[in-house]
Amino acid sequence: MVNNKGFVKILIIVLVLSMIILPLISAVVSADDDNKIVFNFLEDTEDILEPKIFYNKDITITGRALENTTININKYWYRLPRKKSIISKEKSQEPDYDLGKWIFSCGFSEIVGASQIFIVPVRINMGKYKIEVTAINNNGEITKEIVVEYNDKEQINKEFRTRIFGDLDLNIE
Amino acid sequence: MKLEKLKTTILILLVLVSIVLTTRIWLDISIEGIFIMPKDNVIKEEKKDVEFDSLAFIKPEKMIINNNGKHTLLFNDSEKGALYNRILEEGMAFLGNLFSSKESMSYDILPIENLNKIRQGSNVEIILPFSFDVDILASILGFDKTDWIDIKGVDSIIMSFDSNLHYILDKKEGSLYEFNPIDLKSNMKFLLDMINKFETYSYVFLNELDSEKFSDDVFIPAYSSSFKLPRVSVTSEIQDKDLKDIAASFLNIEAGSLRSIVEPNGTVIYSDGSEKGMKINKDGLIEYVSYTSGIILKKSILSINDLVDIATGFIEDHLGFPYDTYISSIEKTDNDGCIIKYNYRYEGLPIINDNLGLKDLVEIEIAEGKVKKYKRLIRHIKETGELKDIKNPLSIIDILYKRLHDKNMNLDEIKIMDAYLAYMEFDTEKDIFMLPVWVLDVITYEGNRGKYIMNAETGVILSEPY
Repeated sequence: MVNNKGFVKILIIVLVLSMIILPLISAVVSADDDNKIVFNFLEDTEDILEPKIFYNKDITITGRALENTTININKYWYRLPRKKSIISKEKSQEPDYDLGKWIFSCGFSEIVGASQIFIVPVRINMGKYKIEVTAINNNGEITKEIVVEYNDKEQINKEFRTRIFGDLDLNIE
Repeated sequence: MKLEKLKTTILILLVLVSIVLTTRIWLDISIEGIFIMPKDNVIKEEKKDVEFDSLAFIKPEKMIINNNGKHTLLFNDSEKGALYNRILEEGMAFLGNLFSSKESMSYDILPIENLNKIRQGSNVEIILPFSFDVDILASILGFDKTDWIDIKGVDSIIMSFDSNLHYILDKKEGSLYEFNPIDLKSNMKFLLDMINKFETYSYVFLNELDSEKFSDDVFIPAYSSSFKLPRVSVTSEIQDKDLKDIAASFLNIEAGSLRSIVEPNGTVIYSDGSEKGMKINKDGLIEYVSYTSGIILKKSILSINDLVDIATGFIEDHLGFPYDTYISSIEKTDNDGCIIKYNYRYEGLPIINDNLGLKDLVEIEIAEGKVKKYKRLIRHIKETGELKDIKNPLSIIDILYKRLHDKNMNLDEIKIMDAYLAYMEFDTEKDIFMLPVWVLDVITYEGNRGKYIMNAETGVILSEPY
């Protein structure tokens, strides 16, 4: 049995660590503040944008392109490889993204008007998605893409709380 | 021995701290007569005297829900009206708390540029129809005066969903006031959960894409499927009513004693023969004027709240307020009076009337404690059951640009200041009807500002300023 002093020390350590660790972990697993992805076809930018994590399922694909440009937006979801055997399951619980496949989910098409702006809402769920945007006009065709992921903020906080305080027994007698 | 003394001192300190903290808890969960004295009856009576009728007319121009990057507009419609009004109550409770005391409320002043960052958080932004003078707002909320003299105008209130942070945007001073009212218990988190249960459209601030062409008020929805609005039919509020009865009620005399003249265009002019007169247009426009002089009151007697109350009482007694009326402006006049303008909405969308050039559909002027002028044009609205497809706002902007291009105007010298949906009235020989329209508020490089109004279903331009 742990004596009182020991128990108090452990309690203080746990509380202090949790106060420091929780904000740190939250900062590391940070998601994008905005829910929109901007594809700018008026300027020369990277074709593959940095992956983004969202806390919101409803994201907006927006951007700028010349008038009369056709914008094709394709959404793909990432299908994880099928687990072949119990042995492979035991090997790793983490998904291996190199072995999966991008599956076409849906597509949208728009013609940009005089405002030179396009806006298309897209919904994502848990898991990885790839958004591919192609701009076609008289000057040619440019394709840009981004990998996005949705994280449930409440779920993440709940998970951390469970992991850190899950085994903590405050049964003071 | 020294150690024992130290231990005793620490123990005494701990006991004192525990007493202080326990007292705080008891005060927070107060039970009258145990830790606090029963509330004074005088205070209770004062609270009863606070008149909140006028407060009901303080409604936002826009209520923006910012939810971790997703922005949406909340309307006072039949689906989400209850939530809208709960949020508004929270906003007014915060203002009441703010105006009641300055000392107890700590605050920081942030530059206005922080607004975009705040909008990326989880909060609600209540944008008022005009910049409320802080004294006027405090007066309507029932406070004789406020110590918040630094805040010149209240343009919007922002309330956080996941913390107790509140903000006031003062565009006049270019400041954003940040408050953390610890005493204010809010239900904002619960309200956000309720909002999340509804399907809402994502909105985009267009200035984030092109700040040269769009102001920070241009906030448009991203439709994933076709968006529809009901077609409505309307009738004039004077239809099927005896005009003489209306006039008698306004002029406060027997219907038989009224003097009247009918003009060639059908307008009837009534008079009581001495001090009051009124005009009833066949389209339903009512204008009342009184030449009576009121009791000369000392300057300090009537507050803005009193004037708003006089206006509210008069309008309630004379044909009443339509549903979802709000104050669209308050202008102080030279003779210690004011002109108060009201508008109303249907399903959260403003009603506009372009035919008679009346911007605000109810207008009242108070001077010397009396109603001097009163003007109104109100319709009774009914849904027809038919739904109209609404054009995407980007298509509407394209139509505007095409029109401006056809007029040889340089598109780089045009800035769109606001874009919103509304219902616009049209009068024909037989009927009056209302159409859903897109309104684009535009300003040119030279400073010419005006509104382009387009049929929201077809995109046809119905009204243009130049």
